[in-house]
Amino acid sequence: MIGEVPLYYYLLLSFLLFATGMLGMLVRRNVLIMLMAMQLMLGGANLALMAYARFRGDEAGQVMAFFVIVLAAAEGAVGLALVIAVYRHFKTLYIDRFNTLKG
Amino acid sequence: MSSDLFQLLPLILVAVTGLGVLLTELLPERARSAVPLAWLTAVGLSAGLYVVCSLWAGDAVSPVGAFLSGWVTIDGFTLFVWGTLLVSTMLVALYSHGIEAEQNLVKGEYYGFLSLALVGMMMLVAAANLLVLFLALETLSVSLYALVGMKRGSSRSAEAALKFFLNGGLASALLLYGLVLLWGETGTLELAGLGAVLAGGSGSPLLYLGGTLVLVGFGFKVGVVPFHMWLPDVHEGAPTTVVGLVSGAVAVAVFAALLRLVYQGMLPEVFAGMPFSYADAVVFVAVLTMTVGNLMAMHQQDVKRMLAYAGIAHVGYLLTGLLLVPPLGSGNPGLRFASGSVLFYLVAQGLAMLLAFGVLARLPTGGNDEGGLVRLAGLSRRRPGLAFLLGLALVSLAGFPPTAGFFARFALLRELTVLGNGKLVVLVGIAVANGLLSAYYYLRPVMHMYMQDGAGEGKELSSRTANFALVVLAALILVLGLLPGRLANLAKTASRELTYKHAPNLRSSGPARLAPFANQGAKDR
Repeated sequence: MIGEVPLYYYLLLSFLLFATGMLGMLVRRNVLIMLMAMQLMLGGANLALMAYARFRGDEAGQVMAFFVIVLAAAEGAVGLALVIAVYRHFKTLYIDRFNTLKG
Repeated sequence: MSSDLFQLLPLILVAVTGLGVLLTELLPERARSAVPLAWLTAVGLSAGLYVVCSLWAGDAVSPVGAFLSGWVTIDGFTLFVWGTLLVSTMLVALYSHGIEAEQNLVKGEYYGFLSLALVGMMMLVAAANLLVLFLALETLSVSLYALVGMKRGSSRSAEAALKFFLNGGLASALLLYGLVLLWGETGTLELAGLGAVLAGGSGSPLLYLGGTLVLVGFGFKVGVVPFHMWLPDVHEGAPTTVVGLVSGAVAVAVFAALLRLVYQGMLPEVFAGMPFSYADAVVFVAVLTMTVGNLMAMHQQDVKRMLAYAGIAHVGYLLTGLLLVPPLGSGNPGLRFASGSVLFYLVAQGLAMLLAFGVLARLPTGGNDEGGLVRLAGLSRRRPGLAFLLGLALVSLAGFPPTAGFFARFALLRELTVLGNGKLVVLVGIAVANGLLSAYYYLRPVMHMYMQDGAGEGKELSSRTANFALVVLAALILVLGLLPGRLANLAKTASRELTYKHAPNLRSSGPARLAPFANQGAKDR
């Protein structure tokens, strides 16, 4: 039964997902992997939302999770379009090779 | 319900304008090129501006109806910033006229996304709830990703957009996770409710972790120093008019939202559970931001990149304005409305940035050093008008009289010294020293324009509509510099509605909350 698993287990799992995603964003240099890592972070946040919603008995959390899902889809769509645009110019997906800007 | 809709009407009008402009892409080729999209956008936005003005003139303080309460706040502060943002974006649309072909932009998409980004900015300022704030930030960010990468065939534009996207996505995810923790621990996302809970000081560590994550996410968006890296890349790679929007309007909107977070929300309270005080943290971040921004700006060879760092330095000056919040426990309620000078500063800085990028957008593009300093050489011979306008914008940014920038910085620093705290006097000293330092890099482009010869690599663009917008901007900067009183009063009235509500000492003592209103009113007259 779901009720028997304490809230903090879910939170721990969501935090692990979030931290994995963040580590991926900071460490990996392949743009596609970074995009996936970003989705992992949002997924972690969603899991925490659902867990809180369940344990507080407050459906607002589930509503918010829907917002986040829609948003992740929109962000992913724009992100993939940008990845394609960049690939056309640089013929690579490694962010270290994108160096036309002096930064 | 109906009055609710009327209060949201500016937002709705802007959204409808944006979508309508986007839809013109469906028209057949010939009809499409005949539609003056810059003017169409400007007309839609001025309708929104008209409603904002009538709301302001009517009863600005009337609370929103039940339908919207707890989600958005439409008070004097919101209306003031909405007006500023509408005017800014309108001028950006007008001075983009004639640039689409040169920059290889799809017209309908460009103007459509300008308005949609404006919808995000306006929602951001009005948000009374962290979920609305988050959705607004995303509306704004996703439109901006598209705008920044819109220059087809330019690798720099695509690269800037992707880096912006990755940074912005990371920031959004941090903010979201923080928001989830805050909601989970308190059961509310309303700024007012959160402030009260955090001020109680007995929250769980998760609560403060959530608050910190929200602040870090916001720090990314504002461009506070450890999180500022995306700004220079965006400034260098994006189409120049879009950069005008980013540093002339988006910066204003995001900082205004930060102000609301500070005054009506939770920012100082988050520090209740931390080893250092709110004031110390703000001083540290402000000094770091202004100094790093200025030092980095000094050795840039690209004007757009230089202005990006200059904008970061301005964020540093603005952050000092956050100190005008009375610290927890020590009531100095007389200073609660002091953000009036911060608002004025925001407007002045936004206008000058808009003008600077508006002029830069007129310069011929092509090659890889689009914003290179050398390109400005001899501009005063070729186009004296443009050279004068750019010079005016830079002088205002540097804070010299008789421009708006001078009065803005003077007013802000004066309010800080009035606080009379020794630490703050040191802070003001650092800010003034930084201002002097910045004169070096602001005057360098002016030297190039007026004292060096250069043939230029092409013809500057010329468009009557754009010239009109640039002259309006310059006039605003000069008028605000010479006669700042009226706008300063408006800003003061507007920011008076952002009262600091949650400090326990203010809540417990009833009469003390009312006294400063009377006090302030007397001082105004």
